[in-house]
Amino acid sequence: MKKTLPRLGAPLLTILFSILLMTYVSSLADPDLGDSAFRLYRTAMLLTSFMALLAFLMDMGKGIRLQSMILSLSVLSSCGCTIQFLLGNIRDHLVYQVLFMAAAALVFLFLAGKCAVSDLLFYLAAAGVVLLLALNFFLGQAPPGGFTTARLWLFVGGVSIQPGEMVKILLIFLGAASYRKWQRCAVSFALCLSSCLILLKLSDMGNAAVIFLILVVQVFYLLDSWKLALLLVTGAFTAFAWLIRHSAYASARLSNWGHAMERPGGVHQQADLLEAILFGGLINGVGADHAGSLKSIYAIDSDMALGALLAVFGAGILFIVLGAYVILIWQAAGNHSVYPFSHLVLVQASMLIFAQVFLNFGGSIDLIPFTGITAPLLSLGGSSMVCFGALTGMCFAAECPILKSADSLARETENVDILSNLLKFGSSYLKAAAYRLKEVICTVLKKDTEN
Amino acid sequence: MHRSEKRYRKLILALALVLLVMLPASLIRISLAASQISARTFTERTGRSSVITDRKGGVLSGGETDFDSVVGNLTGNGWSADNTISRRYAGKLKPSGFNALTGEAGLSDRSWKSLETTLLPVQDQVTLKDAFRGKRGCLFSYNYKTGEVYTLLSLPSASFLAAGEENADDGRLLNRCLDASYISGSTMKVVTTICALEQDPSLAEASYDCGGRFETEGGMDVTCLGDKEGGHGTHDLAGALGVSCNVYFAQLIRTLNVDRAAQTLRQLGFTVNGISGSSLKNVGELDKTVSSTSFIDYKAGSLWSLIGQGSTQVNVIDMAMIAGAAAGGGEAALPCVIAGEAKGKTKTLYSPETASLLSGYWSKATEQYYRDGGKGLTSLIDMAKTGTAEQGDGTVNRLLMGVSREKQTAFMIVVENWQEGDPMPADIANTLMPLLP
Repeated sequence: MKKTLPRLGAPLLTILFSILLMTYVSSLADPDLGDSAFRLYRTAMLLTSFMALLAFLMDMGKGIRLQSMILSLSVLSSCGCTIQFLLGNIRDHLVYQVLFMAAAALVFLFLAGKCAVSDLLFYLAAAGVVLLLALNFFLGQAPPGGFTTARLWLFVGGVSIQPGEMVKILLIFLGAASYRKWQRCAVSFALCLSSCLILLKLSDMGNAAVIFLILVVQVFYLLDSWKLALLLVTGAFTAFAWLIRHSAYASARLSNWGHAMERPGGVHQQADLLEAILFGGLINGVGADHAGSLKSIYAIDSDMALGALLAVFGAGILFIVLGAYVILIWQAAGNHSVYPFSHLVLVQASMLIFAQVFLNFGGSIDLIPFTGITAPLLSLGGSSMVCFGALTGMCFAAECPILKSADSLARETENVDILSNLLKFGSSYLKAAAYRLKEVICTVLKKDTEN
Repeated sequence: MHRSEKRYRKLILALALVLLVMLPASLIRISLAASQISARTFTERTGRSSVITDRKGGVLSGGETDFDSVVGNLTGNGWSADNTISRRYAGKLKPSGFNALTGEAGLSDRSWKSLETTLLPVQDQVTLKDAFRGKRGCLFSYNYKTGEVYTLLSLPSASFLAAGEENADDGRLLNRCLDASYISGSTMKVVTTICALEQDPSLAEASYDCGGRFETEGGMDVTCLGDKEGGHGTHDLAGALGVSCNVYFAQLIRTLNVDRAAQTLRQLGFTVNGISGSSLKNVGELDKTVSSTSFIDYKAGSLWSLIGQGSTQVNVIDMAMIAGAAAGGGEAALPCVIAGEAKGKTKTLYSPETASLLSGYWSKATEQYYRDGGKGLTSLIDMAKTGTAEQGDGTVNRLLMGVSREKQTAFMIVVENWQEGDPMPADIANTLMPLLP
């Protein structure tokens, strides 16, 4: 028991967060909303919490990393559902949540057990990046309404997708698969840099900034020389800064920084949000009843989702949400895997989550230049949700110790088929859960007899 | 990998800390934003606002009815105009007790403020507005001793807008006293007299003969309204001011030293030949335009400028101050619209000797020529000078500047596009006098 107790710290903390959050939200939200969507949302939340609890019970023998990540994700997911419900987007958001889970499950099953990536898969992914960038560059459009000139979207049969989001995930995959493989490193760096430039050209500053940070992590790890990495990063950073200065769109955003309340050039979304936060008050927020008044703020449900949570529920919610993100980032970065692929997936993911949260929240309240990027699991957006799902799947596969047992590693599983993984994972999952349950019961019984 | 891992973990720890540091940083940023909320936003968000009152406490703006258009688009509520009290005094109109922590809930009835102006009560302003009988124009009046502004009337005003006419581009959302300048007409002759008196008081003692026309170099002559009748005859300064004799003033201007006159004009607040002097650029926090003229030589263009046509453009506030200084010993108080803002600050426009001489000549001219007939000024007005400014399009503006010692008030009135049967500025001045405190 002595050894188990410290390991219980993080999940217990996350559970505490969840309980706090639920109490907080239910005290503010009208219980008689009566909308079928709200019931659906509560059911979804219950399911997520149940999944999280099961994961916690599993105790996979390697620690509490995966469990606390799942719990953090469930906290964020419930926060996301809450704010999207209040902003009237719950139906879309639930669909995206399902897509998130599906993407996470598929990628997990595909990658579980892989500790290396074949050339074929690597170059397929690289081709995917090139294809997506090309599609975005030549066919990308700004959304109707004229709010932004950034050409980030592809419209295919009534569905809009953001290739920039997918590019990020593929680049993380490429970077992770390049350890000690110089040819792949070169491809990965080149693709990161060109993605950065192309997205900047398309005025997608948020994703360009995130990819730049991913590139920094890749350089740091793959070259394994911090001096060289520092040199490269300084050079790249200078070039990046120079490019931003010389992009009219980016420099306009930069010059607006710090002046949001003056509504420079008629841009008023940050000022509107700040005013909503202020008039609601940091202690109470505007409250769930008046959350609808935020709907008129452009991109409040996506690029300003964290700010919206702050406006509705007051500053208290920030402790919960930022706390959950910090746990997620910390757990991902603290991975001790001996497999470079797994390790690199996780460290890049931690940087991605940090960058997106930092840019989303800081930008929405004018603490840093506004870039327009989604907050993982909080923001409304199909592309970002599916891509973050894929990343989550990658992280789980990297974290999951079940499939990294000696025998599965001995086979050097490059081509594990999905079905056998599913069966294996399912049976191990149940076995572990049953074992844990039995252990808990035994401990309790033992205690009883001792007493 | 091992070393990198350690370093990276430190980096990520730092980054995670950055996220946590964002918490207090964001609270500071938000608190900063609280001080940047405009008074108008408070009104929009809470449905309440601080009130702007007249000198007797009557609510001009922020109450049930908004009298913005009555007082010359000055309070500025609901319009995009920038040079208004609600914009320029936004800090004083913000409710007190607002903070980022409690937000709107922290505001109480006592948070809302009352900003008192020195303007005449609404019913008096309506009386004055009616005296214009629908004509465009403006009326500025103020106490030249204390600086309290009584009226900043400007017509047409916002309430004249017809449906679907919100963008009418005729300056109806502006305040003409603050934002416009007019061709001065003969009111400039008072300024010219000051230039002469400042240079040498003996210049004003001369008498000149008017045959209706004065020939200048270059062929463009100075003519008088009395041209047809063979001129005004021989006049001294008081007589010339009274009948507004162009020929007399043309001859007087020829005795002026160009540099000395330009210096005096700049001291009076004019921008002369493109060089600005001690111009008054604002009334409290409100902006005002600056008067301008040109005086280069003794050719027709310069002569006409100082007679009041040509390139002379005056702001009515400048002219009222020049008039007020005649009764104030060469000093005039700086005008202000907000009660308590005046603090008796004055501007010296010309010497006390000049003021004394000018008021002597000017009072005499007013007594002799302005009491009867079409001008028929009330005895409350001690000094007055009319002006008729010919616009480029053939229309005529009627102007009147004057001073009442008893009311300690200086004023300037403009009636634009004046036609037979329209109200004379003198009628409006007579309406104004009994309304003054």
